[in-house]
Amino acid sequence: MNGLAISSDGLTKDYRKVRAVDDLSLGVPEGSVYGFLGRNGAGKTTTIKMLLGLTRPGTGSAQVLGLDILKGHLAILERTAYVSETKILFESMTTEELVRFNRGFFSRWSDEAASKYAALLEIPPRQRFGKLSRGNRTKVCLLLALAQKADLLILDEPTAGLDPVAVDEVLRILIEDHVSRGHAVFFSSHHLAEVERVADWVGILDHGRLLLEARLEDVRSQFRRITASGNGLPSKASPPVLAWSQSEQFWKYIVTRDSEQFATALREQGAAVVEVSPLNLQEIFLELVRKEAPCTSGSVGATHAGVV
Amino acid sequence: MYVWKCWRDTRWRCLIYSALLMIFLAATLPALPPDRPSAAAAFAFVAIVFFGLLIGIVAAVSLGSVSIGEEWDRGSLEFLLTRPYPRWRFLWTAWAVGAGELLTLATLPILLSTVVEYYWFGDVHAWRLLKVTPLLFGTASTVYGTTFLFSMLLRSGRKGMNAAFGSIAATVLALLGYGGGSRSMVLYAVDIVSASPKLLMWLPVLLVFPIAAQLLLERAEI
Repeated sequence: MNGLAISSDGLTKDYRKVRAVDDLSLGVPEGSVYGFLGRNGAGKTTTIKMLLGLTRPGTGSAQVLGLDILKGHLAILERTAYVSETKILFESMTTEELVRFNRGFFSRWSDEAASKYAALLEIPPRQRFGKLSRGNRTKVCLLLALAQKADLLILDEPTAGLDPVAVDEVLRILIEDHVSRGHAVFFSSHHLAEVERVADWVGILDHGRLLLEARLEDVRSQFRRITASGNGLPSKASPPVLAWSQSEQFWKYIVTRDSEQFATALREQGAAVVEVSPLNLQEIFLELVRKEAPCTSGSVGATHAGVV
Repeated sequence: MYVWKCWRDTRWRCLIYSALLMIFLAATLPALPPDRPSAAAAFAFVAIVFFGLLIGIVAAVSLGSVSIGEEWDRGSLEFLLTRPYPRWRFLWTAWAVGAGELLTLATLPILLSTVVEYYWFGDVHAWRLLKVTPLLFGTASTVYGTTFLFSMLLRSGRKGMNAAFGSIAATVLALLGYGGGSRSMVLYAVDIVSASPKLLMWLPVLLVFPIAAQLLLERAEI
């Protein structure tokens, strides 16, 4: 499995004339928590659906838990737990019935875990799914996924609709009960603070293209915003520059490493370096996806998970 | 487990249509002439064919649109297809549960007729009526399979049901135009009954619709 729970190579998907996923090559290390970020319509859900065999890729290939997504999708589903973005289950079934229905499909299903999470998440066992609040529906979906005892959790907006206490509980469960056993979590989210709290790796997708894939620790320790003023400063994104922008006389660069060397190089070109500041995930995300056109091609300047 | 779920989703419909069929057939009992067994038997036969076809067709459309079609409507197909279970097994399980319910529905008139004949006339000629079962089941299964296929094509049970009723209406109108009236249609149905053993040979044809639906589901992108 070359140490990756998920890997893809040039994965592309078109819906009629719209390219939903464009030449996506990502790597999710085993035992990691990977935050898959992007705006609405960025291609996150389409990517997840391709990984689970719900949608066929146009070109490219991908492996989940070392299994090809086209040839081994049933084996992938046996070892992968998935919570969809929509969180739609059978409205007329109670939580108990959903548990009974679901456990028949999975050989590693744990009734003990199901009971434990139902109690922890305070899920009403005998209420019909259709009568549950949005938050409780999300909890039921998470309960079904967690009780599978899967090797990989793929979660599409897993905390949508949950109150802060429930979010805290869910994230704690993910880390303590799932990741601590060496299993990977691949989740998409709009809540950058949550991602920053639990993820080891982040991937930022926009217009179907992976703009950044990096270890969050590297983002914290090495990614910097350099603000400079001057004439004839570089205006292209090539490593270590991940993105750049210009407003009035100031040029802003986001560099993925070697920020001091880059600042020195700017000074040597006659620029005045005003500030070198660390960035949080939200700032990087906004900087990357706010632009009309992606400013980089693929994961420029970032470390690819596959080479760790 | 999916069998249980399919049965759970459709059991009320099955019970309601069974009850309706029994009520309609029971309502014809007072009209049977007790002193003329052969006339009574002929009348009962036509009643069974008429109500059996009517209820059977409505039930077939209803059941055919529920199974996988309703999963499309509800959006629960995504959940279902991320269980480690081949798609064809989901489809054929759903189809088999509905087909079993239709077979039950097609057999009910025979049971009722047997009871009625025994108590009314002291004699049982149900073997003649057994010929009705293939007609009712064959017709209902064809309609059921068609609805199944429509639901898959249109990715919606509701749309599948509308398309099925539309196609049935078109078929009835075409038959009326071809046969010259509703009386001819009933006679036509009775003629088919007399050849009902041959209908068994047509059973593979009934499987064409779910097979086509399976091919669609196997290729469907959710």
